[in-house]
Parts: sequence; structure tokens; C-alpha cells
Amino acid sequence: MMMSLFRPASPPDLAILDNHRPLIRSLSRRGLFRGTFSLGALVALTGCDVSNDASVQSALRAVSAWNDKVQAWLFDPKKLAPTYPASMVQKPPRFNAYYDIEHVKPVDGRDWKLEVSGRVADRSPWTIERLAALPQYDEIIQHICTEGWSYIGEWSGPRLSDFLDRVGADTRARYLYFTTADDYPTSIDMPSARHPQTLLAMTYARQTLADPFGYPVRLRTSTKIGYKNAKWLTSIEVTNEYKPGYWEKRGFNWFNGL
Amino acid sequence: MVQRALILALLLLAGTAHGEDVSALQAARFPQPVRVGLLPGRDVLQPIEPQPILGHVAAIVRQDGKLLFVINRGGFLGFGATPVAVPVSDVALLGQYVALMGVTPKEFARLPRFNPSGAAPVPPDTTIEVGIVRPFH
Repeated sequence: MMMSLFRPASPPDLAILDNHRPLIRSLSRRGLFRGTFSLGALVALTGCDVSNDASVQSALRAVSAWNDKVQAWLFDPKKLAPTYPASMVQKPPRFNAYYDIEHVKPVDGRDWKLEVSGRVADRSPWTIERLAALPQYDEIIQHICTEGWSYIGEWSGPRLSDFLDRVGADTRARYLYFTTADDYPTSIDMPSARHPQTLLAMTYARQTLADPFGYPVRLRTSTKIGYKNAKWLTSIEVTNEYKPGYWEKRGFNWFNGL
Repeated sequence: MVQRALILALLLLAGTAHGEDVSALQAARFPQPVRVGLLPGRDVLQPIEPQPILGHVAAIVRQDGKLLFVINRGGFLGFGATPVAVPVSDVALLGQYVALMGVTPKEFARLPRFNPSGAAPVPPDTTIEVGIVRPFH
């Protein structure tokens, strides 16, 4: 790839980041939205106290919730996401988390159990062996991150819909709420959970999931943005109560359909 | 995990960045198998938010018993680049990219031209293990 003629011969020194860390920390996408919204409100809503952070936050959350509802309404549970040839699979896959790779805490599969709770008939926990005994499906799909990057990955495991059927889940319930070993909860809607390309993934590129990618079991759906695909699952709750996930608590959208 | 964190903390406290301790640092990055033939041509990125491209992987070689990434530094349209070498412990995989973790851009700019004497290219169908890293943004 050609290097830009306008790029300095010597890239900036990392010390710049340290010297300006307070300023860098003050920058955020939400800050940009907040500023944009406040400016619009100032013009359109004379008399509104745009400096009232709570009211701005409330309005932004209302818009976000409306976006979620529209996305859920548009979602077609039978429409399959594109799939790709094995030659395009990224090996190894790209790692991402809300912490650095050095802080990944591997899960011991021998002690691991997947707890099930909420609106289900059978709450007995699941082991790796029990999940592996369910019909396994393989899919080569695109992982799309909200940060703007993507890769093609091959995932295998039981369909979440099969799992829900086995535990006698109330499929009229609105949400599935997942907890993980890395304290990264997430929740998804029931139609997305029952989509045929939503897996409890146990392998990548036909190999057992490696520690950094969610061993022993992670959520893998083709219909949602990357950060909804929680790794290192520890429990699934079928519920009608909305519970925000790690990023939703920080202002990101909940539905995030692709 | 506690072991990994302890190793990393000790390395940071000791201020060590090279030598045998580097392998421990690499171990904390959960080395993953990758086929050598998939690596040449990949962009080599500086590990900061804009992820600027510092060069491109030219080859993977063994020299004096060490596994090295040979990186083409600089050049224009593939001409005039300078091949330099860094140990595998100084790089990490970021999807289809390679991040230069153990060498600052200044150090990278000063690395001498790679001397291929005694170096053996690693066959493309060989699988090696390289640490991974998350995006820098």
C-alpha cells in the first residue's frame, strides 16, 4: 500500500498521548452528540435550559429507544445474513474487549457451567458436554464492529433457538439476558435469539474456541453489531424485564441490528 | 490469569522490555497460531489511535535460532524500502494487520538494514504463534 505523501516521515511520538491525556479523555462520541443536540435545542427550543445535562440525556435516550423500536420492527427473523467461503476466514480472528488482551481471564472448562433462569421450564445448568451433544451448526459470517472494522469468521455450535426449546423457554418473553465471566452482560430480543444464525458458539474455524475469543461458549449472531456477541457466557435468563448490557449502560444502542 | 497479570506487572515494574523477559510479555498476549504464508504484505501499524502504517511484512525468517519478522520500512510504490528485522515477540496480530508493540517509531526508524546472512526463510505452510492485541481506538 502506498504511503501518503503528506504523512510525516517520523510518526508522532507516543509521549504526545501522555502529555495530553486529560484532553483526550474529555473527548467522546457522546460528547459530540450532546454538543450537537444542545446546539439544535438552542435554536429550536428557546427557553429550554440546554445546560441541563439530565434533560439532554433524557432526550437522547428517548431517541435511542425509538431507534431500537424501529430496528426491532424492521427485523426479519427469517432473513439470513450473507455467508462467505472458508478461504475468507480470518485466522486468528480479531480480538476486542473493553480491556487489553493482557487482562483476559481464561475460563476453566472443567468447572464451567451455563446457568439458566427466568421464564424456562428446566433450570438445570449446562456443561460443555451437554451443549456439544446438541445439533451443531457452522456459519461463516461477517463480524462488524461499531468501531468501523470487520472480518469474516467461521463459528460453530448449537443454535440458541434449539437451546431455548430444550430448556422449555417461554418464547413469548421479550428478552434474553446474558452474563459472562468478564462482567460483560448483554441482552437481546427474542426474535434475534431465535434467528437460525444465532449460535452458542463453541468453535472458531472448526477448532475449539481459544481463550481470548470466549472459551468455552460465546454468543455469536449474524444479525447484530459486534459488541452484542458476548464472550465467556455464564448464564442466560429469559425475561420480560429489560436489562441493559455493558455498552447500553454507557449510552450505546440496545437493539443494534445489522 | 493471576500468573499472567503478575508476570506483566513484574515486567513493567522492572522496566524490562527486551531479552528473555520479552517472551513472558508475549505470552501475556495469548499467542495464536497463524500460517506464515498469510503474513507477507500485511501492514505494520504503530499502536496508537490513528494506527499509522510503519511498513509492511516482507518475510518471516529464522536467524541465529530466533524467529524474526522482516519488515519493509519506508519506500514508495514498493521501491526503495529498507528491510529491517524485529523478533516475533515485538509484534502482535490485529486481525489482518500486524502491530509493532516492542519498538517505538524512533527505534524502528533507526533499526539497521536487515542482513540476510545466515537467515532461513520460514516455509509458507509453517504455523507459528504470534501474540494478539485489541484495536488502538
